[in-house]
Amino acid sequence: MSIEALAEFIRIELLDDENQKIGPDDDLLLSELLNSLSVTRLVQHIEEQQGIIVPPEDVTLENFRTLNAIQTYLQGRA
Amino acid sequence: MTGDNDRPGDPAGGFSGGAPGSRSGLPLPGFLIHGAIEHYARVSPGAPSMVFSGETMTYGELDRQSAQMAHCLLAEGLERSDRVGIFMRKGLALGPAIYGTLRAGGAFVPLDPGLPPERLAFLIADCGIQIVISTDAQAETLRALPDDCRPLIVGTTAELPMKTVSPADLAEAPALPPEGVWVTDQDLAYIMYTSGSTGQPKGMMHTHRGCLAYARWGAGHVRLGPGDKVASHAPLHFDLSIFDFFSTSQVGAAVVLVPEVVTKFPASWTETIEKERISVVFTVPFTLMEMERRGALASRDLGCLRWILFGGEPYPPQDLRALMNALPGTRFSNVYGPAEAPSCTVYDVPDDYRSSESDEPLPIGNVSVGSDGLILDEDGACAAPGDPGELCIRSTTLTRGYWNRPDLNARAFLVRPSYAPDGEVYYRTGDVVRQRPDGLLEFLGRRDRMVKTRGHRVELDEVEAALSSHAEVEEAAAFTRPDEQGSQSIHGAVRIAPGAAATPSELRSFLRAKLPSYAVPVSITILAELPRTSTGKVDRGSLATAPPGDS
Repeated sequence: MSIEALAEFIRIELLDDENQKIGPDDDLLLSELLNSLSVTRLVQHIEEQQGIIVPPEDVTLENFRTLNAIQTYLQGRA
Repeated sequence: MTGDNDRPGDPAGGFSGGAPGSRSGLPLPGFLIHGAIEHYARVSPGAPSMVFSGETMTYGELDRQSAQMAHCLLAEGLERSDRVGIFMRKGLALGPAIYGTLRAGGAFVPLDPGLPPERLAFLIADCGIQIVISTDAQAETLRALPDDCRPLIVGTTAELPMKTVSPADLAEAPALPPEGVWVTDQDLAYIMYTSGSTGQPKGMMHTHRGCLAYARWGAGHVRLGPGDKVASHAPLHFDLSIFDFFSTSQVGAAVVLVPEVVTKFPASWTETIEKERISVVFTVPFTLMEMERRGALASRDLGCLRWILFGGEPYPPQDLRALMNALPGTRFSNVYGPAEAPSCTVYDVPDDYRSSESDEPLPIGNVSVGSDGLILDEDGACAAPGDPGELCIRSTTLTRGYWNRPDLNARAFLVRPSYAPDGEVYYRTGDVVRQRPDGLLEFLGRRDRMVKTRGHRVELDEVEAALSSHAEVEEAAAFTRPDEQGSQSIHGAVRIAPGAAATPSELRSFLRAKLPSYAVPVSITILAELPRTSTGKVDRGSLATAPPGDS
């Protein structure tokens, strides 16, 4: 799953704002771009797209803080 | 400040700030919130007072930086009981902002750091704030404030359209305690605005005395002492944070600031508790339920966590038991109290609750030391023993009233004749309770959650409880929307278990077996997650105003 595809999902589905710029190292959480609701939806989306289960102990700040971090986590799972 | 701001029955001003005789001619520091900082800066200057993301501020450093902040505020003309806005996210800068304001004789007003500019400007004007303590991170909102809102901003290097004081300027201010500041324990210490999503926000005024009554009650109840670490994840504008900050500073313990977002990642939250050796947490049931469900508790060593306090909404018994059984060494207390009168009742959950099978709602316990309650029926008379009625509270923690809202003050407070010359002031909580035969109080619901629909009285909390009792429903909310007949109709929203297949029509037929037909919601929406207010409670207001969903 590419960083651009993740950014696209966040822009369109979670934020409903096509023009929101999201850089690969932007902090998605401390900036409060994502709230708990959208974190849940993001995890579900990744699970469906990748055909994996993300266990609760992996849903951490470290793994979901930036697009790059999510990418690194998913590569670690591959 | 004018007399209009005070709730009815309050004695006009009056000094009871302790005997003279302390070094600077101030009332004894024990009567004022910041006295503790000066005290622990002398007896344990190297002890941590605040911890945030790996950094620590000692009592010595907090004393020094808050004295500098106080000097800066006084130099800018701050006078006794003037309001100072605190507009920043969680961080060590909160300490000097809070205690510096108090040491200068001012009252701090926590401003939600996520507020949009217009709403921020409203609060600044409503409260007459002329100085706001902030950080560079908030510059974007400050820059967008309307032209007629130009407070002095302290603590920023950003280019702003108003006068600013930079951190470098602050660091040059004298570090000795400011002299000649006159504060009594009945002076205003802080104003908490409700974060309600609708209507005009209202600011609750709390005094040094009320705040200390709350802080010392909390410290005493959980036997807090030096070496304890209390986690603080609630934003400063939520009154849980008052417990976190001031119970710890009263006893020389540390408050560990946790970014609010951490609690949205339960596994990170439990990791923080383990890593920081947190001993006490005061939070809302939702955060705890998430912690139990998704916090990877089995892989954590949380033996450090001595005591969990929770409040704000009812904790479903089976969920509470699940967490208690996952944390066998932790004590649990159900703390009840509106922000107007924090911690007015408390119930210590007995250890054997872990093995009980009761589905009865958890009682809210007995009134705490320093509080006293009346249960009044609809005519304002004391309800017969065991009968439901509105809980009215008199407490040492009680707010002095709402800022600038004589209309609300007249409605929300009740003066009962007593031996005191002006009578006793009670706060009408709006909560319906009853006293059980064993003397404990049971919370039945909000008075305004009892609605009339098609001529029938319905308790929305009962509808929620019935929905929640469905095996596949993890969480439920019931609310009303105006219907076409000009009456109110009941609607529901639920979060169901992952992989569950319950449909709205199934849920409705399930409810028809449990509730009278007029109480069955006309629509039930299935959501991935229920919306929450910034304080973690289910946001029924936004559900009610959202466009009706599928049903």
